[in-house]
Amino acid sequence: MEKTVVIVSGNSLSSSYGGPEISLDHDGGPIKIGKMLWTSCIEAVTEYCRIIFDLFPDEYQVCVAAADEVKCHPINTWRDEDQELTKVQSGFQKFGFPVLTPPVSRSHMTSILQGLQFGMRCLAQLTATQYAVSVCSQSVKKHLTTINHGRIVVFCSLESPNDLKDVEKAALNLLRMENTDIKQKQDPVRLPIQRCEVAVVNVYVSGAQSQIMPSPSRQISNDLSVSVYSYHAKELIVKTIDLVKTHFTLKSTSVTNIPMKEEQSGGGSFNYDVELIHKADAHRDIIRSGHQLDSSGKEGNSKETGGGSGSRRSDTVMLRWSTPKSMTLDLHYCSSVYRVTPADVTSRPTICLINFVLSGKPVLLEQPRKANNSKLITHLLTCHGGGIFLHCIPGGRSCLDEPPSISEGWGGRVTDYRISDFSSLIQDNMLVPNTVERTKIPSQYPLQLAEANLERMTRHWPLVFSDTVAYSMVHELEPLLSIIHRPVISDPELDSCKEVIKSIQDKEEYSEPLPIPSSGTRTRGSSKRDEQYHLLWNELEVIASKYRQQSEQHRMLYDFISHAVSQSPSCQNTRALLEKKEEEMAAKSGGGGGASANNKTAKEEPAIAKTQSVTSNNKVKGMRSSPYPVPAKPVASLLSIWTTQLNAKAMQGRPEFRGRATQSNKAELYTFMKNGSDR
Amino acid sequence: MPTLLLLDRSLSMKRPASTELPLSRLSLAKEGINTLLSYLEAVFPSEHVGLITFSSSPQLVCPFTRDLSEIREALDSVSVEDRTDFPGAVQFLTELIPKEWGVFIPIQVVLVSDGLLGGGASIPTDSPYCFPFPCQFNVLFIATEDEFNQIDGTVLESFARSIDVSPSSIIVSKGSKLTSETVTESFLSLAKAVFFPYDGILKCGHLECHFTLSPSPRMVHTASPISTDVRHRFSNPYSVTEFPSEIKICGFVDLGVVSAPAVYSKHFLVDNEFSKQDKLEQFMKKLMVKKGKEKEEEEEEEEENMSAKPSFRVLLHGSLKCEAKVAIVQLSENWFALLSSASASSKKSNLILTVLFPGDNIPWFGQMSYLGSKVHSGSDPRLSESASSKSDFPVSIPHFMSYQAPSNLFWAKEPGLQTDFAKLVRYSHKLPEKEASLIKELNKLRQVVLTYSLPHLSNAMCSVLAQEETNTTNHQAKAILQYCIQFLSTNQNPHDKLSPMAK
Repeated sequence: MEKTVVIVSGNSLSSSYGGPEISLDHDGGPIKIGKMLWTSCIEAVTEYCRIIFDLFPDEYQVCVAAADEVKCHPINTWRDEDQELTKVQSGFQKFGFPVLTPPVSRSHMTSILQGLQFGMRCLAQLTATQYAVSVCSQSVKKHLTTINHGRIVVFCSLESPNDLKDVEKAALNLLRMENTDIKQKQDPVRLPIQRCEVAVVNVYVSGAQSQIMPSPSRQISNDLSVSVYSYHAKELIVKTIDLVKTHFTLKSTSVTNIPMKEEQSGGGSFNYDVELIHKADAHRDIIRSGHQLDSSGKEGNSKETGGGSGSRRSDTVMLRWSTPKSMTLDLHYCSSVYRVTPADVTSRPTICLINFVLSGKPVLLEQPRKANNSKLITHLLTCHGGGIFLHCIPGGRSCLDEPPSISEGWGGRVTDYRISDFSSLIQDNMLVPNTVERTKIPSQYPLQLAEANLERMTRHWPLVFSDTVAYSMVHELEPLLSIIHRPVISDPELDSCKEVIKSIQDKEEYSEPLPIPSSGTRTRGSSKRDEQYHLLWNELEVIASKYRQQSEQHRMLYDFISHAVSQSPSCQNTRALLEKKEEEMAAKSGGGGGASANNKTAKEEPAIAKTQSVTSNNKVKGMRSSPYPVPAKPVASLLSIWTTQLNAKAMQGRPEFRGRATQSNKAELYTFMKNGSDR
Repeated sequence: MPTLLLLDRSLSMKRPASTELPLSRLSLAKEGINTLLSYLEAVFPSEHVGLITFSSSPQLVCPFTRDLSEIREALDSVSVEDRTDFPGAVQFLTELIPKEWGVFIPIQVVLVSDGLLGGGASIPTDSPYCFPFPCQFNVLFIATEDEFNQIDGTVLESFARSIDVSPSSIIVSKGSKLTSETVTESFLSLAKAVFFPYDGILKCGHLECHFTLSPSPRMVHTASPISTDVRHRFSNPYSVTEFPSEIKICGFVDLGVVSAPAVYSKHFLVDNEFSKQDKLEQFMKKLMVKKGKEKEEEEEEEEENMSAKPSFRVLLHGSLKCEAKVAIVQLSENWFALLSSASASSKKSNLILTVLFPGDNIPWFGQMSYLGSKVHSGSDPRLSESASSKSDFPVSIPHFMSYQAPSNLFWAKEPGLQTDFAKLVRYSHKLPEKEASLIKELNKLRQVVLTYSLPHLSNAMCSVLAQEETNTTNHQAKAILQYCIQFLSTNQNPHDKLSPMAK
């Protein structure tokens, strides 16, 4: 039941006093404050709502209304911002006292019926969640089925058992009427009620009213069931908490032996118990493992009503407070996590425990010690973002003790991983939560964008230093290497990249050796320097080619680099050498097998193929193993959609000045005049 | 997941395999189990295996261990005893497993028997016997198909029903005669069906590597996810799809912010030596024929090559460990896992994949699909359309909770009212100095009166103030008290609050 409507039926309750009295101390003797049944009911409703709001902030909604003879007044609505206890309380403040009219003209049932009618109407209305589903696109909708189940809880004071029959009859009629009305009007903001449960809570003080017998849930028709509860005003709050527990399958855990310093008795320590309410599932594991001693451990008759003072504690599991030692950073192995709320939010022990947990300290809960005095931690109580959660810790040993060492596995003996570079990649791809708009489903989730980010940054990412020249000399190549994988490059950034390329060109011209750690026995002989430059240029070209479709600036950068590569003397030398070798190879193998495949790729991507053959000559295999997307064939990925979008955006702007667009960087001015003079 | 071998050692296991083969069924079973153990050693190196034998009394012959030679030794000493008491063995299991593994870790049970489980084979219940822990029950009978068919069908059926296996998945030896080969084959077919290594690809942008998970992710589960997501709540969050073969890293978070989410399962993420299927087949064949050593050497050589080849897994592990970070891994549309480095000691360390329940099950993360890149969410204009503002971990709970210092909530409970009322009286004695405090308390009590309709409380306040008013001699105090009483007795508007008297 995701939707609950709580109705307080005014008149029959507001006429009589009978709730527990409050006595206030005063000089002139204690002052007794009597509570009307109405007051007790509002306290009960407050508790009912409090527990649901605290435990199911996203799941279940409650709508409260106060009914009198004339009409039913809404206290809050289904809207998200109204699903808070403060709103319910201020709603009751606004409503004030129910108007007392002498019960002559109308029967005492009028306000109950008013309430029921309102309740049905409320259930038919869409909650924020249901609204979000109703407005999302048809394609998404296919996977969603809109359920509209609800429960109406009516707090009232009945006079005779016959009244119950009237309530049943009225509920059935009102449900039928509401559903047919929705069908006839095809109302988009209302949903037919598929299933409805009416829970009648009769509040009595004494006399005839106490003769209303509680009855468990009874199916009146296939879509309506009615259950009856009858509570004395004095036990109403306690019983209402039990009612919420049955309605939402909740159980409670009593944290026992909480040590607390007591000021009144000279700083001595006393032990207190605090009862916490949560989903019943939180006890599943301990019941299954058969450890539980204090609880009966069985579901029992969940529909128990009234009476039986011993029944209150039966669903509580006692767990001892275990003073926390140190908490390790490792991920805890929790089998499930549940929200909790205290059964008595205002009591002093509760406030102490809550404040302790809210301050960020975790509390471990253990099974009561048994004969062997062994400690068995079953739950962890801790706070995340202001909410308190109960974590279930599964007992028993873990199958993950003693991991196999990673250094014994594949790649375990390699020592020159670019660990710190990957760490900075991690830093660049840290995730943060974003605010969620419940009523809007975005076309693209932030997570998809984050993934695209990761895709872009890893297009060329050698795992080890021996696979890369460029990333072995990052200092010389910055800011080029960090700028190139950005989604967009500004013009000044582009210029600084070009500067980097020019400086390398200069270095090559002056035959400066590249600042690569000399430990690598990458090349031998006199051609070492040439070889290094050649590798560097090829790698730069490979990098740039992977980003050339990113934006106009990226393409320009690629053009610039490939131009530089074609001009590099080292590349020209080695290229000539390679071509010779390849020809020989091809002649030897007769164009069959691997060589032909190599040639194929060579035609498509000359630069990359060259790098491969060079690197494989030098036993640098990483490049080959890293996956290259073929830039010539754009895949319909997120990225390609981006790039087309970006290109489209670029097209909308002012066209590039013709002089800059040409490769020569020169444009002849006033050509039309020239034409004119010719004529 | 731990594997429990449940071996029948009843007298009927002493029967010879066939007229030609005098070997007892128990020794055939031992042979088969040894093959299975060799298979596990190679394919599932970190699998825990335990051995229970049963006849009229069940016995834990070898407790759970990774060192399978211990199992082999224990297996050697198993000899035939008396009659079969299968329900007794099941009862024994039910008590033993939770003590060792708790009720959360799924257990793989392999029952090895000759099929003659006696009249009391089925556990006397109508519904399948429910182990308190997640469990996959596998049955392997050392019997030929013909023998199997001769066993009373109803007995078997009720047996199968009682432990919730379909009769068709009970493995028996192929062929008309029981031989060492057919038994080994049936054990290997069990291995293939149950202990098939998972093979997956981990992707991080363009970086990727093959891996397998230990324990294997294909397991029975009692999924009880708690989905709080708006969109996915209606789309049946209870169905758990098969574990995908490709998983991808979406980004990273600090280890500290993850805290303790509800975990579906945990696995070591290790290399898959059997990533190529034919390699596994080859290995199986080798187990069948138990060939010489030449092939093994070949494999070892290849392995050596692999360990010298850089692997993304090692790089990722190194960085995650250095930075104390966790990678958020997407398994399917709304199913996530966390990848972190875990170390038992400083020497041995590896990647651990913590699989979460499908859906958004870390409340302090908000919705997983709304996690976004930290660097770019500020500058990237494309983000603004999908998510307006960003926050940080942990995500605050969406609503105000009653237990969070509830100063804007009101309760009509005696102890609270008692203190507030006493304060009101105390401040009324100390007028005009305490005017502001008096008015604050008065407003607070009035809110309680209005929320819970407590006219008596309002009256009590009026009378206490009136009494004070007659007693006091200070004119200013008198004026304040009159002003308060006037407000209390006439104003019913909850929005109005008494403000200090203008001077």
